[in-house]
Amino acid sequence: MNGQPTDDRGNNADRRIGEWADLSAMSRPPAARPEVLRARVEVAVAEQRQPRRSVPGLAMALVVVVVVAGVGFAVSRQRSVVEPSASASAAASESEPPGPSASPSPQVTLPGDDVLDIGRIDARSGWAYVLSPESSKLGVPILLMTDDVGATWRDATPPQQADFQPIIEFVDADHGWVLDADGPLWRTTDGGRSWQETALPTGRTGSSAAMSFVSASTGYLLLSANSDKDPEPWVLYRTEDGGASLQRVGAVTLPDEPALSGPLPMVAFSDPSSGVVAGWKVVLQTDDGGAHWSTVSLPATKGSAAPRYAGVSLLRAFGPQLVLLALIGGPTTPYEPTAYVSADAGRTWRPAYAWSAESATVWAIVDGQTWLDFTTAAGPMYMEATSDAGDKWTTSTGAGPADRHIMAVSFVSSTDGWAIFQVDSTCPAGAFCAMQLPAGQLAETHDGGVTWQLVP
Amino acid sequence: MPIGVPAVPASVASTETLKRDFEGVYAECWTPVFRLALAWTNDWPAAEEIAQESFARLWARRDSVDWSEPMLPWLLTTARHLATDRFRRLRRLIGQSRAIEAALDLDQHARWLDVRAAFARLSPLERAALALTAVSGLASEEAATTLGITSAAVRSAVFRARRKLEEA
Repeated sequence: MNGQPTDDRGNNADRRIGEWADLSAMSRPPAARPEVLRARVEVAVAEQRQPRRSVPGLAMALVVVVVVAGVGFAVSRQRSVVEPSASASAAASESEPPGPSASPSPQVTLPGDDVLDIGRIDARSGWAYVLSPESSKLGVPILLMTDDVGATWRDATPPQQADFQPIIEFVDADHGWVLDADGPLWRTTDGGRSWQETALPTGRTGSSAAMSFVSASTGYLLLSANSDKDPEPWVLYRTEDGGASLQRVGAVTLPDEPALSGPLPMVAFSDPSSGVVAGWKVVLQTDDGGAHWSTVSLPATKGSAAPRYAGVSLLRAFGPQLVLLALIGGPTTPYEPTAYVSADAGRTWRPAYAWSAESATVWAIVDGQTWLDFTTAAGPMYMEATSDAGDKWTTSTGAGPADRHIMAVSFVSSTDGWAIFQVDSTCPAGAFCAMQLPAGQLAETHDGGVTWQLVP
Repeated sequence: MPIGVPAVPASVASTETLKRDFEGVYAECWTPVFRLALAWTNDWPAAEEIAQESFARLWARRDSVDWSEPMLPWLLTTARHLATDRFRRLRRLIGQSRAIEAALDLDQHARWLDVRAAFARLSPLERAALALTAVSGLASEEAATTLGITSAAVRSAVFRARRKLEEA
């Protein structure tokens, strides 16, 4: 690499490229903080000298194959994937998972400040996507599940761990799916104690995908193409056997490069026939299981011009009631998050609420009527709640853990929920803040978010 | 998708060796990794965050890494995935205001806003292809490996990018 822009700046493109190169070269790497690195290495080495607790999910380590080609290299993970046929469906490939009668998963300690994402499934069950506390796997994300409201946790990581945040969906405490950027689709029928694998159709990837299950058996996957030359960038697949096989429904036309240009598309089905795809710059609705789609228009909020829908932040279906948190505006102006609600499976929508783009708000959609949102800045935590789909709101002040801000929430009722609280800190000037990714500590509430207790 | 780190079953390296190896890669690869993240996001603070996170993930795997292998391809691919992840995170933490680009003075910041507006006309893929080839000097085949597309697609993206910048 020469690290230099082209010298020929005789035209506008070259001039712009040169400016971009000059400015981007001004970013300096923060100095590595030796005491932090050294401490981590010493801990790791010390623990490697001692017998390590075995965790089955982690023991299935990834095997990498290195292919060196010229100055670069390509690396791929070995996997037992059965390539689907060229037909329109993808077949399942069983990966010899341990059955439910296998030895129970050992309990795992929930890592303190390394919770990346959470999901409450019902009053007792839930999952947490966390960074492994194992020293040799520091920074590697794993999936933990609880059956006792967080009192104990077990490793429920699919055999092939995801390097990047996958899509995780459970319709009940037993039936769930995990879709990684590289695929395949993992499915469980026993709450993550065993996993079965379904290869994605040839040419399709789980990167930028969307998933919606209406029951333990029926669901939809919106999969993007592996290649930008593919004439069908997005294709919808349907499963009626819990994900064991995927049947092609058809291509879904979305504006160019939605996966790369902004928020990823989301899909939500009210029932096996009616559903919505909220993509980049467009919202589509179907009443025939995805065979045909109609473009949906989102009305403006009171006193504002026609909304410039940019993308989706959240889309959930509760039968015919749908909730869409849309991002209005961008890309050069801040996104104005606006909530829309539909009572007819996404055919028509009404605006329910709009937020200031300057606030960092997290949402909990309990059902089609009951929503909560939480905002923390430098001071207290502000909460808003509605029980009538946004017609009336109550505002109150909550008390989260000191010196932390709320970064994600998941509620199973208007009172009971989880949140991730991240430490309020900024990276010191010149420091290498290696673990600055959005992660925090799990907390629970039983009073609608007024008070929170950290889950140890 | 090439996302593995070159691994060797070697004995655990010494603390100082690991630290030296990591710092060497950090200093050598920061700029191209940051540039790819910047191209993908068109957002300076987000790009710095993504670049740091890419190195953090490399550090997390330090014990299984063959430090004699080139790390840049893995770091670039990781940065690309993380940049895509960023949009997924946007779903749950929206509207978060970001600090003014601290690395730039006022004049540079004004120039950056102007350049960013021009580059906003390009898709992330077009910006990334341009950054990897025209700025960082990768061959189209190398850029294709990083971006997970064909080299022809890289050349096509660069062509489209330049054409849009001409009109900007």
